[in-house]
Amino acid sequence: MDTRVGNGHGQSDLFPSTHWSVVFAAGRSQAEPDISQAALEELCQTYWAPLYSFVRSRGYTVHDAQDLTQSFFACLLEHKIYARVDRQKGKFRSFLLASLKNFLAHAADHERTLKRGGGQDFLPLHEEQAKEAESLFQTHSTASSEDRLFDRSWAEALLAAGLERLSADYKRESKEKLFNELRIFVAGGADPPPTYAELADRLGIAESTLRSHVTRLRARYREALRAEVRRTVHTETQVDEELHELLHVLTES
Amino acid sequence: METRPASVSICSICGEPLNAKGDCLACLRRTGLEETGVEIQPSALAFGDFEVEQDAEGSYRELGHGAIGVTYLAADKVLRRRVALKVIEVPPAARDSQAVRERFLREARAAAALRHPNVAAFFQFGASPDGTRCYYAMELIEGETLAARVRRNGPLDAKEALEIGIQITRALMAAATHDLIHRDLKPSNIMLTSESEVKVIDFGLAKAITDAGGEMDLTHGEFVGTPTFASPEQFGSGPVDARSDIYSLGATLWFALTGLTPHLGQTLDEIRDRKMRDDLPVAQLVARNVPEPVVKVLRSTLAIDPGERPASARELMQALESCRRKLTRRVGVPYDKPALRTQAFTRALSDAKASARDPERLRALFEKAARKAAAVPRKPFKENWAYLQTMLRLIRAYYRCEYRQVSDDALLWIIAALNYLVDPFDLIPDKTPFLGFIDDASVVELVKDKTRRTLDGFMKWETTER
Repeated sequence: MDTRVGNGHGQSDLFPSTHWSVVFAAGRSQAEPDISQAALEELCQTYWAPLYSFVRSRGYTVHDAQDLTQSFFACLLEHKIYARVDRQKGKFRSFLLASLKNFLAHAADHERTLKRGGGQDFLPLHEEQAKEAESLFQTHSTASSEDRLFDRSWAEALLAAGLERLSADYKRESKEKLFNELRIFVAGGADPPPTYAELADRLGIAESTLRSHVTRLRARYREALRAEVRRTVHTETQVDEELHELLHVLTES
Repeated sequence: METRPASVSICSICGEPLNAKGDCLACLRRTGLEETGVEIQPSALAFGDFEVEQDAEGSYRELGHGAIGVTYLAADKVLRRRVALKVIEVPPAARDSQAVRERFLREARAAAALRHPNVAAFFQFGASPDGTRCYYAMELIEGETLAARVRRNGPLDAKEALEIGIQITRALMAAATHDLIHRDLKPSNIMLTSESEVKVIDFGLAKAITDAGGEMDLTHGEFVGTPTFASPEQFGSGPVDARSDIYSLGATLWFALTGLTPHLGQTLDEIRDRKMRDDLPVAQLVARNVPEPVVKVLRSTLAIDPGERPASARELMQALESCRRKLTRRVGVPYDKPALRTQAFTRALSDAKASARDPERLRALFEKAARKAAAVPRKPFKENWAYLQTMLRLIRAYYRCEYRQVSDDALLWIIAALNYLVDPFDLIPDKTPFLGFIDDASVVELVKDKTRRTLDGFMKWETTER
């Protein structure tokens, strides 16, 4: 397993393409292998955990699930499955899940391929990422159905991706320190949050300014989340629908 | 190998498990999807008579945020009106400095003295009791900033941008009489109201900050102003005077016309170097079909050497108005040169003789003139509008035999003026203030000179004898 440090969201300041367009760009692998490789990596970074969770929920071991998830992305590109989909009609999430199910329906063939040594290890997979995905699976493995498990994992992947995007934005604006100090007001944490007065004193700014920073951070997180969702759907209406659905998935018992 | 989840940490805020990165997905969910977020206890934020408004979440309502402070929406508790309240944090080293307070106060007084329709009014200056913050209460302008307008609708057309530029220049002319320099003129400091009025905000504040800079570092070492809109001399190349604002106005108009700034860069040094070294990217203007007269004005305002810019706001105003006239002539009016327009008036005078004898032609002329007068916005051309109205009333009174003290010569001049104003300009859209076309000084003065005595007599008759 490649343990390269970092993840795709380190470049989130750019985010030049939607997920859909990344998929399409990946399809040009013969003409532009670098672009396809980059596109594939970005896909993996965001959707690896929910897809892995789904595979795990089918009873595969950790390693087999990792290999199958990797193979799925390879298959996605090699056979250009996305090219058969009408982008206007569905969400990217639904497309990926349906494609994964089809892929797993032929899992026996894939397993044979893997055992013959035909599996490609062309996707850098971070150890941290793999651990995180497994942790996510363990947390939600009692979900009512494998589809629900996938949706929930997806929603949580998006929450995390939104935070990564926000972090990258602050870093680009040279406000990394500020973001790290305020992160707890958006993402919670193990340590108790400081009072505004304490933190304002530590940062050397007025409490009112601090409150403004927090307000802005929270607003920007909401916008970052919308931006993440926007990359997986087609219209603003679908963004609202998707956000509503993901909230429902996350809050149902 | 089966990986077991690592020992799970608990969020100190909501008690939910944290993910592998130590983030609480439940908190993220609440912030991102439920908009409740981590609990913030709302508490009032007040400065003197002003209390900052809060939204439903208890967050303070911000209008803007810049390098020198935060601007809030606030309520004036005494006068019961809403204001824009700019709050500036004073660094510890400067809090006890009487000299700094004096300088702030001096700039605040200068800004308060500046009263102009194109400048957001300045209401009050104060400081928090502990000296950590000072605040400026200003007129709350309903509308959007020029920056927001361009972001929302894209770049403006030349006439619209020019009109905005002229109104900003009026503000600069007023400021010049108080020796005030804005120093941070930029699209986000230009408010556009729904009535197409332009209001410059934050006048004098940046200067107050930089003046205080000798004894304090209010900006924590950051550049005061906005680098992309700042003049080269604001980067230290020379003394800053009113021509610095003229440069910033040029950059602002450039942005309005293109959605871009003339010199981009990632760092302060890079922007400064590009301003000093690179030619203006005029191709940006050409790509947006910005007319040559406007390009010429922008070139002069954005000259690196202040000596090559318009020397004052008044001089800039002349350039902009000349520019506007040139653009206006482009709207299908076949009179490109003043000489031709004077000829047109000569023809109108000749036609007036026929009109004066032909009641039908005269009535048609009246009706056209009245329609035009009704369609013309009064505000920008108040004097000319009143002038036309008076001429119409006079002719009406003359032909009703109510007021006969009009010489034949004056009558012809008045009818000719109406002819001149009404007939050729049927080509012009109704919204165009047609009286702006009597900007040919020779024609205007000629008509006024020929009719002044008649009109004065008529107005006297109207007010005293009628």
